[in-house]
Amino acid sequence: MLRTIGWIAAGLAGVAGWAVLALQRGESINAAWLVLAAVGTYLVAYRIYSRFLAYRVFELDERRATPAERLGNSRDFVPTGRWVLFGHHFAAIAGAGPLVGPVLAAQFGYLPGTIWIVFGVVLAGAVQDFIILFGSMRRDGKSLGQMAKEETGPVTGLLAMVAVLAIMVILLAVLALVVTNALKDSPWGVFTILCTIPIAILMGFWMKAWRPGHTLEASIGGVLLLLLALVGGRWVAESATLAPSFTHSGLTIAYGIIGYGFVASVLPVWMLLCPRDYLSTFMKIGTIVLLAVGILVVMPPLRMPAVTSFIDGTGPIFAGTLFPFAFITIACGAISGFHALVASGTTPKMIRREPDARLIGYGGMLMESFVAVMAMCAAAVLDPGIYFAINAPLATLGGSAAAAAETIRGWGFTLAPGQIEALAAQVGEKTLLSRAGGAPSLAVGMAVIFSGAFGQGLMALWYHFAIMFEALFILTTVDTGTRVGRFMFQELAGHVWPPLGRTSWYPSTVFASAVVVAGWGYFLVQGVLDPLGGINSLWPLFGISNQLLASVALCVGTTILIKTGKARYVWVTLLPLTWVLAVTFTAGWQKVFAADPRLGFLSHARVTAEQVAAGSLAPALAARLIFNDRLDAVVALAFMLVTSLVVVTSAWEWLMVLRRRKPAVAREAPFVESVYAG
Amino acid sequence: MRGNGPEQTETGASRRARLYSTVLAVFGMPDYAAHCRHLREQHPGRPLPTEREFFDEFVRARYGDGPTRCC
Repeated sequence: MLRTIGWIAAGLAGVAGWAVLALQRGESINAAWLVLAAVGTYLVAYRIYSRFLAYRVFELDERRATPAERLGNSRDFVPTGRWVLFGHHFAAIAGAGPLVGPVLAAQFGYLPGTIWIVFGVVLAGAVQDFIILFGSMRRDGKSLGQMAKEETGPVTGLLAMVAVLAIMVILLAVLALVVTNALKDSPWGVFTILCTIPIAILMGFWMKAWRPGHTLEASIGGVLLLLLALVGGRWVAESATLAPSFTHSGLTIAYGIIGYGFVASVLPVWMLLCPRDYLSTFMKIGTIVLLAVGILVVMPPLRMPAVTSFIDGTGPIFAGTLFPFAFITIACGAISGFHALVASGTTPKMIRREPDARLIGYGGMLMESFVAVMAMCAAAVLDPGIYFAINAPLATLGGSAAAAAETIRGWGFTLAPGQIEALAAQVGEKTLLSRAGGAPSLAVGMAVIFSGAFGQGLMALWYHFAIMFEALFILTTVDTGTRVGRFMFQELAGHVWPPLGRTSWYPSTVFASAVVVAGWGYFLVQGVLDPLGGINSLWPLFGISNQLLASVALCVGTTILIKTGKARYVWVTLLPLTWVLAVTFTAGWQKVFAADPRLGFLSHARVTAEQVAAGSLAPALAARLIFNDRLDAVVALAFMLVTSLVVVTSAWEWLMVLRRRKPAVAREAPFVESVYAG
Repeated sequence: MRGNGPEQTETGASRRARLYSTVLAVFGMPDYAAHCRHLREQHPGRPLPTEREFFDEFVRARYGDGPTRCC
């Protein structure tokens, strides 16, 4: 009875939140309403829709032993309590994606992005995570690629793998670009982030040699040293002798990250990657909790309008109209194909009882969506003038603070003279103008919220804390991503020349790492050199690739449903699949062929060529720009081609099974009675 | 939340041990005590690894293949 009242109250709270968002016109509303609408919707969706998925569609069975129970080895197959695993899984899926995407999409106003984040997760993102987790759990923890191969055929399996590798390259490039833009000309940030490397190595030796296996105490020690480095960064930035040696251009920082990625990929895991992973998990969970508390304590008003005029495609941060680009820009947080890799990796091997998959798969993704809503709040509490001054490319803003104020006034927002400089001084930076990528504006938003909640006067410290936290786990993604990309490349290359496939052969490791690093490093460097800032072209490419991976995952999910005799429920995956395909193919097509040179890669190449002909652009620079435009166009087309092939081969398989030309055989592991039942 | 099996009345020490295991699991860290318990119960004849051997094996299994972290 009490529970029912609780669920009804949650539903009413959600309705109240949305009602306020819908009815508020022309005056600023409080961030609390956004949070209330989101949380209310999550609770209702969890109670009703995830229950339907769990018991009607998937028929989760508490009497059926999970892989963790059957294959338990207390190393990777470990039966784990559901709340613990929820935390573990959430820490694995949430990264920079849900934080950066919403901040960029705030150029359309806070409302379109928020609606997509909340309803997208309920009907698409959480469904994808849940069905892949379920499928993998029923198949002894098999990966997405293996499931695609076994359920749909070897061609689909190979395509899925190529798609994952290509997405990884774009993902790493764009995330590294976000860090580069946050750290350029910032001695404080560079010093703090550089310190994470010796700290991680120290932790590595601590856990490996000095106190073997004592990971927790090593990590706590690491976090304390990290906070020390954060405070030390201010001292470095203020020192006239030290600051210059930590002040670097974007290009230098980009090459530094590339070198770091290579070294991290060939070093033993325990030395750098594993300790960094622990460090960033600590920071991630701690900071997200802090942000939630901050928003609840401060309850800041949203200064960004609900909807801006940029929905017509004239936005300065990235080009393109509301549909499809709001849905591409926010990938993580609403639906992220990348999660399918995590949901078919470590987590399914740790589920104790089958019904727990509901909280972990569906609930874990709701939690990530909530992080995205908080990021949206952090962006929307900033003055729109400040927000656009930080995020728009310098060329668009007009090159200087004074010109930027003029440009921003032209967009209908205000930026007082000296306002951006004063803010920069307040957070301990030389300039905040045009620091595209989302990380700096998110850090300013978080600093505003934190200093409101936990004491004024520490703005600079909070800003750099937020930068450090973002850079830390982006660099952890760079480590782990390069390594995973290296394994995939070795597996693919092994088909061509078998010795390259041996992961234990050192020359192969070095070669494969170099190939992967060169791949994302190329896009990163081009992004840094791009006069429009790089985010404008790379972030949409990342969004498109991530959601195309989601459509691969939803295809695999649909195949699983059809083969297990659940064809009547097939809409639970086909509905999001149709939407995601519509969004990504529209966006992909526009990015390649649109006539507007700000939007279409090919028309931008044409305009650049015309500028050379007119003598207004140096031919060497133009040649590079044109080559990159064409390369980006090819990449976008290749993503669309691979996805089309996966969809077509999957649909063929569905048809064959539904028409009974092929037996409906799903390769689930056999039923074994669980001891945890009852 | 359900516990991890049949439980007797808890002492302070065992509650602390359980909290420690929980934290290790959330952060994806190796749990040596749980591994030894598992080996003693399930494979009584097998020799126990040292803490360092277990740590090496755990790191290999965890970062061996597939992404462990998302974007």
